[in-house]
Amino acid sequence: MYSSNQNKYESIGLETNPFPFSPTPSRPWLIAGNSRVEAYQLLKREIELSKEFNQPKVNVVEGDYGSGKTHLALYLVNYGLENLKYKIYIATVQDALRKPTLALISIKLINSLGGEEFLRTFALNFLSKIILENKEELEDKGVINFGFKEKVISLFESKYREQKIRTIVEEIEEEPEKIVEFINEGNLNDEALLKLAIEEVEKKFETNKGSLILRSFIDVDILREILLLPFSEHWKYYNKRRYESITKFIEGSEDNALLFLATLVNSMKYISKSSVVLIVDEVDAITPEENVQIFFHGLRTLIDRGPGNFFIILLCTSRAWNSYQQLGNVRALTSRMGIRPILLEQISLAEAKEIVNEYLKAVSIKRETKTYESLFEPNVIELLWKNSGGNIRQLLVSCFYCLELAVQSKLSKVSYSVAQETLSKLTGVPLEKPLLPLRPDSDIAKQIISKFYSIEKPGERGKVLEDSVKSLISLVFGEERVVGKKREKISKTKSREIDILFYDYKGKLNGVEVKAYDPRKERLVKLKDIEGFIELANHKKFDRFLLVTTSRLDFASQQELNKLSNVKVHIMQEEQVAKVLYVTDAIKDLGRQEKLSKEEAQEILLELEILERTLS
Amino acid sequence: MDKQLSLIQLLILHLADTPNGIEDKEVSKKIGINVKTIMNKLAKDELLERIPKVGKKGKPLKKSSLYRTSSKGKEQYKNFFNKLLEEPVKYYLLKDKVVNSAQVLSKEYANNVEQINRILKSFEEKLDWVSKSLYFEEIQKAEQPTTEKESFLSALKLAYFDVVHRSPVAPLVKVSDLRNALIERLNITKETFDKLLVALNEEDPYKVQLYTGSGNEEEGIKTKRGMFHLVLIKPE
Repeated sequence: MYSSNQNKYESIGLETNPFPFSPTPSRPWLIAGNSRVEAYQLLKREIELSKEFNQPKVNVVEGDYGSGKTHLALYLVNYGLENLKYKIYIATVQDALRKPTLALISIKLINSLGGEEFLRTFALNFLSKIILENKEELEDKGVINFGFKEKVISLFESKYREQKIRTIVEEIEEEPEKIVEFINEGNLNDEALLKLAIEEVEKKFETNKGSLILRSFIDVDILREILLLPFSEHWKYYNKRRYESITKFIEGSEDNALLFLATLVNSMKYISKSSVVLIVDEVDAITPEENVQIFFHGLRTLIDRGPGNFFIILLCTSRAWNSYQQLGNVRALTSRMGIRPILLEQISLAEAKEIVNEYLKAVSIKRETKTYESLFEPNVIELLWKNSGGNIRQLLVSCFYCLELAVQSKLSKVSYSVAQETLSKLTGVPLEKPLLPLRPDSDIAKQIISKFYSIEKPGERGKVLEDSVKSLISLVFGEERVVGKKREKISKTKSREIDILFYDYKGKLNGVEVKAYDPRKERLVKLKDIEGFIELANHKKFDRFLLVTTSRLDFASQQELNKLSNVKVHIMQEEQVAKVLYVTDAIKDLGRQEKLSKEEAQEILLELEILERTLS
Repeated sequence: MDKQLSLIQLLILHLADTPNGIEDKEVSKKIGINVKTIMNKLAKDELLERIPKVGKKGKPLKKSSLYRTSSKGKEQYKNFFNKLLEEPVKYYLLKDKVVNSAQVLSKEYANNVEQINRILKSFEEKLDWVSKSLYFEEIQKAEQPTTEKESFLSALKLAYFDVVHRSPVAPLVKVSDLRNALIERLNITKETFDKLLVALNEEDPYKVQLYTGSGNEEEGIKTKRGMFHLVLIKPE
């Protein structure tokens, strides 16, 4: 029996078993086999064409169960279309209680992006874009406020105003969340900012509600509501149910949903200057026939009237696509597609070998020696491929079990007899379930790190890591001991915020600050970044202060922190960042997929020095 | 000490070293230059001796004479040859003889090689014939069970490319459409069609691809991986 820390696959030269244990794609960043690469390139070309002509477009990817439709979709969303900011993946539009109308598609679209939280961040990004694009006019338009004191200073220091505007713009560019702070502190004028945003939209987009074709349309009222989401707590715009009222509006009618979709998609294009891609999986799961008609009618409307540069990919089995052909709305949409559905065919033997090798290479201990290429003895892949009928999922699943059996039998290779035995066992008793280690394998770790640092704004990135650390703390100490984000007063007029506040076993109050600047860009933690943290520590507000950071500290911050006895700094190595994000499922589709135990979480908190060894 | 002789002089002495003597013309011919003056000088130095040439009637001819290496001359050239040049000069002198005999020999070898080639060629032809006969026998034996499969595949391809133009889900076609087209054309049963199609798919699931589809059980095809209703045949 192996423990979760031992690598039982070492004898066959692998870090882990790379093949999928469950039907969900385990390594969607791998794309191999000519037919799959060609399908991806074809879709990419189509998306580029859609952008060029500012037209919406729909396409169907058709294939049997397990042919790699979802894998291709996840590859597109997460890796293949890296240059696109907004790529939306909807796992299914089938809902037993609701019809797959445009309204439901819109709601599912927002939900798949993160729901209210997404719209809130989206609004801040939109405002940040407005500020950046109009930075020269911010003062004239009254967006930036200057207090009496500042006005006096600027009389003596001619460049003071210019300097202040630049600082505000730079901070907002790095962290759009700061807009809320600047408004609360009175540095930004909320009304002027909103007015500027609406003026800009009216200049750049079609805003007439009577428009029939919504290729470049933004509904000013809908946009205003979205832009107000981050300020719902503000006394002027106070509305605790703003998000609900937006969703209620969408659900009001199909026309409302279309207006919302056009507004959202066109605003997304304004922020990102790129196409918006929507992938809808499991179209074959829509039942009954009436719902299929409704769904395709919605898409038909979207193509005829909807926003331009909006690319929709439907994933459907050949079986369903075949039977849908009798329906009027499906045929109407097919005629609007232009090209035939992209069929993911059964794979050839050469493709099977290439795909298997790609999986093995990803976790091979000695990649450069290419020993993984001979891990499956000659003819084994052919046997598995023939048995799979050219179906990728079946091929990969049988590869998974072949490796498991080879390791259990203490073999260094997958022999023909192991493959034969596996195939016979697959129809009978399943093999022993593998133990999932706490640390991701190097292939997954690489993907996690790349995804994590591809989060553009350090603030958003920090939030992801902060949530992960918080969930580990909650698991170890219990949710009732975790206060979470907290603003503490340090003087009568000043207050400072700490990311995570929790009580440990001894009842001591611990404050944790999480910083996630990109060490690869050599962005050090500066004194300015931890000013609030230092002030709280100076006031000895809590018993223990912890600074968890992904990048090193600059000299000034180090010096300041050295003066404080109650502060502990932990600089996370890349492997630690990957491990924490992996065990807490922080990065979509790159999680451990097994519930973390309290002991395992404790082990990680000890590593991060959040948990003191004596306490454990 | 002997007088230092030139190579030509030494060569003349060697050529003239015959019991009956040699004419100056003949020596000149052999060497390739006129050596009459040199030979006269050698005769003066008593390295060559003059022998009167005997005419047809057995009487000595007054105007022409033969030259023969004297014992003094013999000593001179042999000393030199023995020391340095005996072998190369000998080979030079033997050249004609060697070339002639080589030509004779090569002719002989050429004849032999030609003969061997002829034998080998006829052997090769025989071998080829034997292997072909064996191959055809093998093929005939092997084709017994696959003839049906091969001819079925050809017919399947023809029928597929005919049906696919009318298929709403092209490049996929319904198994039942293909089956209906072929059962009649090949005069086979539904079971034979299904058995052959499944066998072809199991042999190469890329060449003959099966897909799940909708329809009743009768229309589909049953394999160990389940029921399939759609098929795609890859062109070569």
